[in-house]
Amino acid sequence: MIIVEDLVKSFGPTTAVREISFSVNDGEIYGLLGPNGSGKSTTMKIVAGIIPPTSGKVTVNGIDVSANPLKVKEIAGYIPETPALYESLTPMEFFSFIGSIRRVPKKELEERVEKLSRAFGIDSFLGELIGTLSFGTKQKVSIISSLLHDPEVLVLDEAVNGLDPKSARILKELLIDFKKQGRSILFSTHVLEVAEALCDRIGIIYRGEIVAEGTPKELKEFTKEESLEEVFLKLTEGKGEVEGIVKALREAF
Amino acid sequence: MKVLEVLYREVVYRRMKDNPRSAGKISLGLGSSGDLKKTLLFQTAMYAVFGLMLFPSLKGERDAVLVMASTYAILPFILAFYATVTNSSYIASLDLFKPLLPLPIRLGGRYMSVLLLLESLPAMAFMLPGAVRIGMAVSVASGLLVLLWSAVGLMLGHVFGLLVYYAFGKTSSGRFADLKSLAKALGVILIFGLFYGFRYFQDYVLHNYASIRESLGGYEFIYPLSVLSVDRPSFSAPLAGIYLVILGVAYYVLISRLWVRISEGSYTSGRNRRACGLRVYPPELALMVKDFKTALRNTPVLTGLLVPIVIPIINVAGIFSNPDIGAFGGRLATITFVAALGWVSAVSVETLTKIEVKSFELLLSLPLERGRFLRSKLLTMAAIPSAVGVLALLGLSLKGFSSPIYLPMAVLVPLATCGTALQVYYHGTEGLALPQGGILKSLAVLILNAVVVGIIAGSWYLSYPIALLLTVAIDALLLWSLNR
Repeated sequence: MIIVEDLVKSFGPTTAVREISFSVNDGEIYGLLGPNGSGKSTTMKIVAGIIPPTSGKVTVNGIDVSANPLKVKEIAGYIPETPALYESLTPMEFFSFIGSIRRVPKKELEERVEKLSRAFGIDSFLGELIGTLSFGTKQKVSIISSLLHDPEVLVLDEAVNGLDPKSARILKELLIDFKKQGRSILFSTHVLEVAEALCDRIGIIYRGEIVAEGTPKELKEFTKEESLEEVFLKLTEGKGEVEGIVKALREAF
Repeated sequence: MKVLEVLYREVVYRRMKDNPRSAGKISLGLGSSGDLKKTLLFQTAMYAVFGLMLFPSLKGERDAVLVMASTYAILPFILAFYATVTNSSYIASLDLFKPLLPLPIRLGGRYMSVLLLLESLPAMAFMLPGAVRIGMAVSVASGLLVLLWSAVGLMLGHVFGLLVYYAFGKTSSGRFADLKSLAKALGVILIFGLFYGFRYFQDYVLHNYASIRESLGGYEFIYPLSVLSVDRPSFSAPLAGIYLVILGVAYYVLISRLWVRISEGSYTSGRNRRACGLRVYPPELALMVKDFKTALRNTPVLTGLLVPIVIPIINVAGIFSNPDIGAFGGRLATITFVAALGWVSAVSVETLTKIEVKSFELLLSLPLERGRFLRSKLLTMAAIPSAVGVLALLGLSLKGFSSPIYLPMAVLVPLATCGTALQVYYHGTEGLALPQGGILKSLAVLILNAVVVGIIAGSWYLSYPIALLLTVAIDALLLWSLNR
């Protein structure tokens, strides 16, 4: 379970996250949606123990992230929005590296690499240098590497970015399975259809604050809107803005 | 200039941003270190001070002053060559030029070139006091020509460096790629070796200049011997002009091709599959394996790791070529060799920290303690100099110049100096961090390691067991400190 309480993150004079609170229960997929620069990635990095919060408290399966980030990293799998990989290694060497740092027993590592690389269709690229792979294949390598230690908690920042429809579907099914196994999953995406189909609850973050939270159905009822896209635009003050911008563009072109 | 200032700020910003723990200090840090003009001024002043320190050594007769000046004039060449070769892959890996690619820019490669040149341009100030000395000893025109030839050396080193990056800068893949990369790196190092060899040759010339100057005069058209011609401006200035024209043409061709390379994005040569198979290591070893694999597939990175062994190898070659050295001389030579090995081992710290820049967020997401990370970096840094040291001492022992009992020092001294370098670079950082390099830290490393090596060599001269105990104590202290 992930519990975020009064979380604040400032970078110098800029406050990226302003006293946000939410929780992700065991066996739940929680979607964090928001426009670019709203504080989603910062929040996710704090939950994964990558950057420390300025104030507030985050616990992951009872472990305080500020006090013990290494313990959190041991049980969490984090997928960044842009794959962070060593491009002069092959995927196989990269998985060996990740497995070694995470101290995954060799047999388990072999089984997981074999299953996951076959599932995501990268088994024929395992001997190529990562630098030669396409963005989508790199994203698959990043996803697989975050699952090698069988994480109890998953933090996925735009994980479906760059994935082909088949791989996106496989990832979604995998996340549903993980949810059924009782794992907590914090998920962000700009593809609202994916969020609607996958997430049990959604928090909409705007300018560093959570402006609404609930199931997709609750959010639609609350805003009296038909689709999650309309809900999103309304809550992030984008609806009127979009209409105005589109009108201005039509006049300009 | 505006584009350059933006790109320079971007380099500093990327480095700080990639280190999320210092992200809060970004705006503060960019104010000083991100300012191109201030940084250049500061570095120029530092080099000028360096030059002043060497100023008194430019003494003696007119010819002797000229020969010494030509020796020092190699420095801008070596600095420019080293900075260009070792930093080119790093600059390219930052994807700095992506926003420029869709813009109608001709010769965009010049931006990368000038960014790289900025590292070595202040080195020109090193020659300033020497030029003043020549100006006083010979003529003002000659002093100015020393500066001109330094500029020629700087551009020559830079163009050679760009050529190495253009020819070998791609990540190697395919069969025997590691061997090919190693051969390329050794080729680059050979160039360093040649110039160091040339330095010895110049020392010889310095002591015999009176008889040799005449015969050497025939080769004055070859850089850096050409610096000797500064006392004849009517010959020297046109010669420098010819060099600059040729360099200008080569530079133009090179930066045009460089832009094409940058436009293609990260480029990997060879498409053959590498052997597959999972291997699990302890975390420190896994990090080391990763660093060495990265280096073996990237010539500039490998060059950065191998460069520290150039000077000690020349040192050892000097001992081998002197069979009448004797037992005392052999011991002294061993101490000098190990001291030189230790002192230069830490040079690779910059290269090693830069390996992590692009994927640092990945390391931050892993359960990796700072102590383990620094230990692995220490082992990676010390591995090559230690291996070379052990082999050299074994060779020297077999030939009777040294003794096998000194072998532990070939490992312990590089560990001490590399540990000191890491201590300086990571001072003030918390957890896993990407330290900011820079001339101040480099200077601090050089000075502190000179002290460390001096203490060890001094005590070794008096008593080997004491030196051994002292070095073990220094290593233990550094390991304890890095583990904290």
